[in-house]
Amino acid sequence: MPRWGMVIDLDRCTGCAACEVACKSENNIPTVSAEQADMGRALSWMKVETELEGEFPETRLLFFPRPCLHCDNPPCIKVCPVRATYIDEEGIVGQIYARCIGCRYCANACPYTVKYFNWYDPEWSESERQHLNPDVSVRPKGVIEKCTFCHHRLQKAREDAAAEGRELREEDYQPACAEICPAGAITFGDLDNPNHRVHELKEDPRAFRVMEDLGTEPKVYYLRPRE
Amino acid sequence: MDRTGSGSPSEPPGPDVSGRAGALTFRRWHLVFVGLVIVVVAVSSLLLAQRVPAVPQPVEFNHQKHTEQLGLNCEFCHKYVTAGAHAGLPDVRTCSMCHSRRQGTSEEAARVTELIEQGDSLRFNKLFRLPDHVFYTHRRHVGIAELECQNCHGAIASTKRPPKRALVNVTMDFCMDCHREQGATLDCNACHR
Amino acid sequence: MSPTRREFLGTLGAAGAVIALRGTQGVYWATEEDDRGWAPGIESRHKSACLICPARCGIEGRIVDGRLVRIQGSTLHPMSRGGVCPHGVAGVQMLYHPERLAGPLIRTGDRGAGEWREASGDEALGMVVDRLQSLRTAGRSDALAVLAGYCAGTMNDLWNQFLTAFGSPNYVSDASEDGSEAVMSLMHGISRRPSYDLERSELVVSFGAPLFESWWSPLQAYVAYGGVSDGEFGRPRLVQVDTRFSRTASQAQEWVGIRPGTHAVLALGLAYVLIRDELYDADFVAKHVSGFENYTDEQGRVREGYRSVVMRGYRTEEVSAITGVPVERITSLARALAEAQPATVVCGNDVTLSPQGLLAGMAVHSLNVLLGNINRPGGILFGEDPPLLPLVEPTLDETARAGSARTPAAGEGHPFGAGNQALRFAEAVAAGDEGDVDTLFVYFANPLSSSSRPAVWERALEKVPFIVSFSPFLDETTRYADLILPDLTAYERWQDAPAPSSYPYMAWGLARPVVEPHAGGTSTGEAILSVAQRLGGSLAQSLPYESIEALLQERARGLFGARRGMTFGNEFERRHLRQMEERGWWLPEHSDFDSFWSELVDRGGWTDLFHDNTDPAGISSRGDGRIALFPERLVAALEAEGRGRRPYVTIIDEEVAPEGYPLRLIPYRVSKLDSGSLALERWLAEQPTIFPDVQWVPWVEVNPETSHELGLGDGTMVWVVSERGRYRARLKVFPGTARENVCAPYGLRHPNGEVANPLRLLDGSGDPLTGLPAWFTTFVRLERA
Repeated sequence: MPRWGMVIDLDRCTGCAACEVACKSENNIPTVSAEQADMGRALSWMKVETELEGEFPETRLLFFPRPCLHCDNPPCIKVCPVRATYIDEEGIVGQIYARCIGCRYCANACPYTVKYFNWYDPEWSESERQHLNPDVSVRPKGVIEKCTFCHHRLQKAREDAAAEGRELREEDYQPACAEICPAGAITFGDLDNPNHRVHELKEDPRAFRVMEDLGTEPKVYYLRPRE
Repeated sequence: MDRTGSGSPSEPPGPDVSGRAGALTFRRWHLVFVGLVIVVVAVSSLLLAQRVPAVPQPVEFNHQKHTEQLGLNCEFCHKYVTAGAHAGLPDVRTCSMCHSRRQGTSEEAARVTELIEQGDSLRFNKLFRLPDHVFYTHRRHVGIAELECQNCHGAIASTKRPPKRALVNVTMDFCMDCHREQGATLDCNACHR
Repeated sequence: MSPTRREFLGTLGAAGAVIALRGTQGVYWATEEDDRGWAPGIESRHKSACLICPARCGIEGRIVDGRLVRIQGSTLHPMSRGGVCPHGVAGVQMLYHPERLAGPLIRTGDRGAGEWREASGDEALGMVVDRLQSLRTAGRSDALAVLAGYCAGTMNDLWNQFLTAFGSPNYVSDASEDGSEAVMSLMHGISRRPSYDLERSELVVSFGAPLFESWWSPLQAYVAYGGVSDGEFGRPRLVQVDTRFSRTASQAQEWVGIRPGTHAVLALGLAYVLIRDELYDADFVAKHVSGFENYTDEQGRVREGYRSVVMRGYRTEEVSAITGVPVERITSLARALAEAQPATVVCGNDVTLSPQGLLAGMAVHSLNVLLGNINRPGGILFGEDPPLLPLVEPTLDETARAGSARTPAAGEGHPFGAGNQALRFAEAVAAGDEGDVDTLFVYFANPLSSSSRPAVWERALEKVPFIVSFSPFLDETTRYADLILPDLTAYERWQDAPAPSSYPYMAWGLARPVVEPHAGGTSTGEAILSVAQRLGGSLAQSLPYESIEALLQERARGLFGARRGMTFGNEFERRHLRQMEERGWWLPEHSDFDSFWSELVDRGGWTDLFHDNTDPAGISSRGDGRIALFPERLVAALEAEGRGRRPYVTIIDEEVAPEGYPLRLIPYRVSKLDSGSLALERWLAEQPTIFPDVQWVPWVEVNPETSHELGLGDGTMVWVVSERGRYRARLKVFPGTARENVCAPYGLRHPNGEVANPLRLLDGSGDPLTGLPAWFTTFVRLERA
């Protein structure tokens, strides 16, 4: 059974945010108005966060692409009263919109703030609806949504592999962010499979996980920038 | 005496337990009545929700004639059944492959030819509907897993006229039972995304 | 049997849930249905090219049931290698933008009043043809002008062919220029922008080049920086010399913060250390460079050479005092440059867009010369154009010959460059008589938003009786048009997409329709062909192509017959081709052109990754075969100027902030929202830059202490005011900005459409040699708005 995970090399990230926009396009994430964005209501399953240190001219800036970390021990699923969020056998933390009652307990329980609440019905005009990805829902107002490691791509990849009568390969299943990254900073695969790049990368001396002391066991690893 | 007329100022005050009980009983019945109304509304809307309106079709299509008698396979008209998410419904071009000339003796067949000549688009309506939050593909089930159409659609191929409603009521249990039997995925993510 | 409160609420809840479910069903999740109530979900993928910016990356469209649902990267493109920038990804929002014009429009009310009537493509083209025909009949063919944005490749050739055959010298480019072509032309005798072999470089030192933001090709920089070409080459170390803490600076291994306008001084400070410690490539300099030592000029005068000028004027302490870069960093950077094999020095806009831009650019480039990093793998290369067949020889009738011979409306330009051609054109038109320019075609340009002088443009447009815009959107300039012939987007038309000049190898990408074109749109290329056919005669003969596709196919015959290169291929095929060609081998893969073309279309383009590093013409095409550190033409021009300027001597100006304007304005381009064309792709507005909390609203960056002193806190809406004008933006406190500067992104709009363009504040100074504006000499103050 695979255990899907991601390794993000902060040394390679240029902060271009292609991952962010690719995610929005892949997962039908709407924009909110400028005023609502100011209130922190914009949705961004993958978000390039920054960490700034120092003053001119000794400033340092770290870009931190932040998807859902798909914890092995996710705090969010424990507080969901309706089991709308759960962890599947392959380690992907799912969010079942049709079950979600919008209580936002999970959003508050998540130490990484990766869960987003839909304050509004998404606004897609007639013409914009044409670019929506038919493999992914358009979420209505009142439900929580978040990064799914593009698990719809996993379904597709499995279908394709089955159709061709072969095993699933590493490159068959890549989330939109990992696929688009122009600098190759995002690597994705089965953490337990020694043939996948992430298996080795997560053991890199530069590797760390965010807020490890919480015991959440995230499956997204970061590689510290080289000095 | 109207025992439900509690709270009337004519009633003597005092420790009349039955009177108080009567007041409570009234409230109780009142509640039960409102509750009943709501239950009736809820149940009927539930029933209505499940009772999908009849699906009309442009012509009285005879599945049995085409499949069992003429030997056409399902894919002949439902051409995306192995490759697409939806199996596809035939359009006028498919019909006119044979019906541009009059076929057989039935009145309905004559009418099809007429409609084609009039330039009608012959739009068949979707009979079988899954809720919008279910992501299903025919490719996975028919193209790859090679399930038979009747597994989910029942004896549609033997019908002589279009059924008004789907022959099989596909519920989540229906899906899950089969998935359990077949050892297919039971993950929520597989269908809800 | 009476219900409890709990049961009661439960029943109520159940009923509510049923009603709620009924309410949402069929509305929000129904993405897969079309108007038949179902869609098959049949998927295909097509390679194409992104045409949003000059980088021209390879893309792959995912098409489901005829709709473009995703733009991904094409792994076959040798430059972009599967990556795309956010701008490119968001292209679907441009294609399906709700405000796309539905079809051609003809103005009915006053100019700019927004009153239009719809017209058919045929009527609109007929209107253009009639207008042009009457110009030719009147012998005034030069009264037609074309204002075009960046469209390198066949579109550019097509416009020029059309104008030549029509008889007008007025092709006016509105594409941004960085002055590097003038530097190369003078020093190397090669009139071509330099290319940078970043991915094979060991050290890249960028002097204010916005490699990760709005460079010629950010993707080229990302791929090199990320080492995506792993296995073939390593990752270069990146040093960014920059006045602001840009995104490039923030991710470079080293950021050298520098005072505005002093890049060239630092470059010569580095040259000083290289010469003093004998770290430069003496062999290369002796063999290939002139002017290093003192020399005797044509008049027999002994002139001071580069070595002497640098040793005399750029001692490390002095350089440190001027630039603000510590002495030890200058020394260590010079050593690193000398040690790296090879290193590349990239010269950016921050250097050349200054009053001494040309001389400053030469000073920075002289480091490459000194290190011998010219025509070497990993250094500066001069690329080649792909061997396409040219367009047919234009047929010129009497009108065409007479018209083309007239002086262009924009005048003759500057001694060493075309400069800001578009602005010169606007000034001339505004100053001239009404109707001097009778018809103006506006293609891929929006000067009323992007220009530094929109008022001049407004006056100029008033003098032009007939303006045709090809924009698919009703942008600021298009609102002034008399006729709008909306173009198709990049995903609906044919166009070639040659890699930008910064990329050293030939990559000829091909954009092709991946979805059914918008019903009301007309590809501008096809419109030109059709207008030429309707005009008939010599114009029809000069553009005898059935369609743009046919034209591109015809030109690609040159690639087929070139006996080099290949259609785009994967990593293995690319490496194989490179190795073969390095050994002088080439094997044809196609026996006939048709199969070649169909594979080319399928794979998205053609490439040749071989560069002949042994050809001395790649170093200099000047008469003496050397790189001139003191080009005679330039030295003579400077002497004629009479201001006592000399290369490597006078490279900065003393600047004093005018009374009341204490802060220096540092305008910069944001990669995601370049050039005023956007606000169109809403996803990009949500995180336009490096600040996660800056969204939608244009901003300016100010140092925390400056913000404190001014009493203007983070998030305050301010006016940025210069002597020339003002605009509104939100103040963003950012410690990466120097105290004396205000960094102002360019190309943004407020959500209400109000343009926030810092270029409008510029003081109007510039380099008279190249005609390029100075971007960093303007001072401003901030006022609460």
